[in-house]
Amino acid sequence: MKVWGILKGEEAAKTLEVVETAKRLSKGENFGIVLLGKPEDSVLEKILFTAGSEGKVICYPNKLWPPGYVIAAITRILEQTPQLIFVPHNYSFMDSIPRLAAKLNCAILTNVHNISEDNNFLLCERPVLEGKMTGLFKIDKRHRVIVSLSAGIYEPKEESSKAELKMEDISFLQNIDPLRKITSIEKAAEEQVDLSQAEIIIGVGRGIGKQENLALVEELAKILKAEIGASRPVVDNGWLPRDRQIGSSGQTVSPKLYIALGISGAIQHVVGMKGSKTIVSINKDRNAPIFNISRYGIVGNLEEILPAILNYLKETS
Amino acid sequence: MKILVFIKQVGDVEARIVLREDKKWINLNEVPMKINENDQFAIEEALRIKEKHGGEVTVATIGGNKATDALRKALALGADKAIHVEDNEWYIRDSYALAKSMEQVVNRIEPDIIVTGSQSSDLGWGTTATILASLLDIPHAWLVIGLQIENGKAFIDREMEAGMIEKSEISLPAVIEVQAGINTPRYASLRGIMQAKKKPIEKISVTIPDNRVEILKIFEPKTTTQVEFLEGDPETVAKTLIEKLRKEERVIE
Repeated sequence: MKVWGILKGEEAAKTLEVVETAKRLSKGENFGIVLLGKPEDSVLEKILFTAGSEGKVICYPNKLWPPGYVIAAITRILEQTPQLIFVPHNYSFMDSIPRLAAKLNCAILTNVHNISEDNNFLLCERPVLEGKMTGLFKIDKRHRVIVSLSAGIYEPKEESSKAELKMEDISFLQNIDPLRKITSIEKAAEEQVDLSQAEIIIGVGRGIGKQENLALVEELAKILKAEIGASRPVVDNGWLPRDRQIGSSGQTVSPKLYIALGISGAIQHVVGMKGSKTIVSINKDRNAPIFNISRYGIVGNLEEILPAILNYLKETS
Repeated sequence: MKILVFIKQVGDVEARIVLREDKKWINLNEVPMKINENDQFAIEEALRIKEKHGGEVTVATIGGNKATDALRKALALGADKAIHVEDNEWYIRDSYALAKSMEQVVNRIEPDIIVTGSQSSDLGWGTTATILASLLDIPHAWLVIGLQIENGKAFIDREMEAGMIEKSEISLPAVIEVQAGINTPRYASLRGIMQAKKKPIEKISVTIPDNRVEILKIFEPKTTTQVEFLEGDPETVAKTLIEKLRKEERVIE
């Protein structure tokens, strides 16, 4: 089989687009899905139906996957010269998949949000320059390719018949070097603040300039009955506590109003707040990617605009 | 310990983006250059390893003439010596080609530990140093936010999704790919800047494989929602915004 998709069982419900993409790119030929870890039964059914009868799903039961095991478990199955391998673009795959690329002598493209084909070439779009621009990349199809797919590239569609399922045992891993001894996986910080329930969130980014300006933000939050969230650099600077971080390594929120102050819109932050209903962004840089997902944008200096907003709110409340 | 740090010089596009005529990349003659943010944390982490365990820090980069500036900065911060891999096409190399160049530097230095940033802010593949580890057949860790070295082993905290941390142990030599925020990078002292001028920068050339991944063009991202920019002085935009949020969006009172 030429096309393969690889998923982790515990993440499978959120990463079904990998199955859909493998199905579409295999164009009616047989394709394979490797599951690292067995998902819940209902999720497994969804995978089998999304793959449909052209698919073959191979499932390993266990849960913990240090890089050495990931590589060994996949290469063992894919020995039959795959052309295209799809994985979800997330932290757990990004940690190990470049090793797989080196091992299988594949080209690798990460964080791809659009794929098309042009005769002998595969064309992929992905963000570059921290999301300020999109890059179009070309790969000769004679190369094997691994692509990590950003969430939502294709809507998973279930077929009328389901794929064949084969369970694999993991006894072969006994002789494999895991390359990393994982001792524990724990929560980074006690989450005292649950931002996921907030109706209005004011997100603070590095563009706030200095910590003293947070006083204005706090005043605005009080008037609007809003919670304050932060992008990663603000937390790294110690301006706000870690439990207020929104984004890929923090909380995911979807309030009815999100006000982004001095947030450039790096992809790591955007994944945590793009589900917000109305997004308002204030930034000094008109090209900031945050404006691409905003309903209203204001280009200007926060130290002038925030006081004006506070004044107007006080005058008219 | 022999510590090798790989850094990358990237175009600073914070202020403005200027494209090349062929639209394949930004015009690197028109934007200021800086050390990639994650790599600044990598330099600091390398210096801390040296301060705790002794040894020598070599900083290396792949780039054209301007890359020397990045190396001088790292030397001013406290690195002992530098290697400049000369490559005028550095900015469009794919991660495999970069990793092959890096492998040749590693073979020359034979470090006990390799430290670098987990991702660059330009192409942002996030894969190069992990491919390097695979070529060298040594362990790696991506998105490292905590590092302790004891008895030839590295004890690592790795960032995972949803605020989780993976704690693990790997053997050395290894490739440590640090995430921003792992430490607080120091500033160069005046003395450091003076000393850096005397420290050696060795220029080398390496064999570079062809790109498998070729960049065709870059363009502004397509927007899903049309943003409405509110124009005017601060008082005007404040009033317009609040009234729109009250009456059209109905999200505030």
